[in-house]
Amino acid sequence: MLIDNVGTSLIAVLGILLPGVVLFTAIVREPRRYFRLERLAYSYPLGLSVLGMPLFVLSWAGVPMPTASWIVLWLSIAGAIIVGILRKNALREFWLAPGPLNAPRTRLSEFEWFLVLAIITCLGARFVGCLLAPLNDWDGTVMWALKAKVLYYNTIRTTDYFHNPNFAQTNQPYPLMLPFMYAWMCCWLGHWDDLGMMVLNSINLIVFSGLLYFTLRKFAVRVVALSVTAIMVSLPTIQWYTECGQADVPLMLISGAGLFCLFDWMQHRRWDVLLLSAILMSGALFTKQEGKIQLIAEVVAAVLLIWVAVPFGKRLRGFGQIAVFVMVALGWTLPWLVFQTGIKDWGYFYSAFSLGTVRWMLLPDIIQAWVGCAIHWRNQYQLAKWHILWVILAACLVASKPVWRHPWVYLLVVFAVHFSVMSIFFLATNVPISLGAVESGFERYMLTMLVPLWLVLAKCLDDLWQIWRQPHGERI
Amino acid sequence: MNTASISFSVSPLRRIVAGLILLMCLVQILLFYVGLIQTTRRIAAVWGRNLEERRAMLSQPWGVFKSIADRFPMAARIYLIYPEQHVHDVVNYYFYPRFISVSKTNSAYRLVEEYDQWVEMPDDQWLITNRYTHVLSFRNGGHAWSVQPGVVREITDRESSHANR
Repeated sequence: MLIDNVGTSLIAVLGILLPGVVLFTAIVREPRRYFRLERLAYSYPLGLSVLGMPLFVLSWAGVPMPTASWIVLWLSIAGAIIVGILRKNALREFWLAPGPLNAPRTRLSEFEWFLVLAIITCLGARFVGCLLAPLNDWDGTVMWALKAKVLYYNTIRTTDYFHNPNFAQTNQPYPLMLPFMYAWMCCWLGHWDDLGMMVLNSINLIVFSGLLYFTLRKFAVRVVALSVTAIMVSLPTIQWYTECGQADVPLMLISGAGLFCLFDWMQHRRWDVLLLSAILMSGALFTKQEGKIQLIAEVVAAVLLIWVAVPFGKRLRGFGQIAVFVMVALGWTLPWLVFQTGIKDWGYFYSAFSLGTVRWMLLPDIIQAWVGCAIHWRNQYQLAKWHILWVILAACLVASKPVWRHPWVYLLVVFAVHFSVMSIFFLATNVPISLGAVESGFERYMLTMLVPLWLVLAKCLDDLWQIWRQPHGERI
Repeated sequence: MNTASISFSVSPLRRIVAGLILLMCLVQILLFYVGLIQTTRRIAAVWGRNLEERRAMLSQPWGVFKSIADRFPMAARIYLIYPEQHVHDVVNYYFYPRFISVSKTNSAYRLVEEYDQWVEMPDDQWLITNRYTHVLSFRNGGHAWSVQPGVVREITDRESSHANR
């Protein structure tokens, strides 16, 4: 049997979903703007984002993880009851109302069936892989699972883990979302189980695939939305990093969901999606240090959008919305950010990191390394990674004009800022700059950086698809 | 953003470019089997085996670390001698919540070079004073022994010499 504790695993996952459902129901005003399954899919990263911080605060207060898990579950149930009472009969309508596409359903073509099959096969293989393979990745074990074990057997108040030089090589200041989620799983499983907790990894990818498809489907034809989802799901890099227990796929899910909401805000300036985006961004900040870079990138893009695309008289309101976005994201993560400042960093690659230490003379080297990472067929472990994705993206950016206009260009800004800040970060540390040294980092970081590019790619392909389908010279 | 409402004339060149890019996408999609095969091979390799066999198969030494860790009491305080970077990293995980340390002086070890310069061999009196219950070494096939209060055991020359690694 692949899972020994199907029931308890299900309770653990539903325990993550419930606070997300409560939050989504409480915040979203117009559920019809989301597909039915999309509403549920958003609830999962929202649940992750909102669960992490109470668990952290309780652990900081000395409450053991099993007790904290029950407290948080009861709080979620209480929240569900309150939202249920406030919404009354509208709950059924909220979750079952039809989605944004009013067009009659059409049958899937043969090619679309093939795409669906490819997506399901890749996700299924990953799911089985995650259920079979115990921890076997260095980062997954030393950086993330060890922290989860500390939180499971101890509390933040009682452990000396965060100040003990014996654990210096495990990067003690790293955020704790993923460790808390692993510890959460093990609490419901009733024992430390470094196989059982890995089920979350495949769920993260499945939910992200769903969210990506639904987001694309709102502006692209079905075959394009399915194609881009299939490309994303089948990337060998994503396949590997789903299984290995690192925090990059969870970050891709949480920050990706946040970006989808922010992109919605860029088009409609609605408060509810901005609030969703801010809560998801707080989850990203608690998942990886890279979440801070993602926050900077999104804020830069949003400010630029208000500055360029909003009439002068309405700019103040737009900037106010961005300020609220930042305050909610940082406010919810504040306990962790305060605690993090007190953790001793033993230094190594990142010691004495500042803008003054940026090695600008290595800029050509890092560009060369990035290009090598993007176009090489296999990585240093002889595993395939991107295929021809980067060639396609480059060709699309050259051939498609609409992506250089509002609102798509702001997605490119998010990518450009994220990528630039990450590159400067590399140059400012004492990490050796060579293809071999930065390759695995590039693969992992790119999973999160790619999210805006998936939307851009879908937009390009949708336009190209429209062009290809029209006879010569005809107007569409 | 309804794409059907976009209105522009389509030149033959644009259609060719569109066709080429769509073709590249088709190639990318058809390559889905590459990642799938990588995953399937891993699944096939571990299918039908029990958890510890799978652990050993995916990362042989880690399975050994776990089986050794499981033999120690949960409250054990272990001093790891002759530490190596990778070993220390991983045993920290597999031995937790058992306490394991490599330093008498609360020094932080991160780089391989730092581990190469390790000279913190403890004597039994220090181990007893600091409530260590076991000493562990993974050199020469690996061995461990318990620290017993009142019994002062000499560390042999071979064990205390870092030069014969």
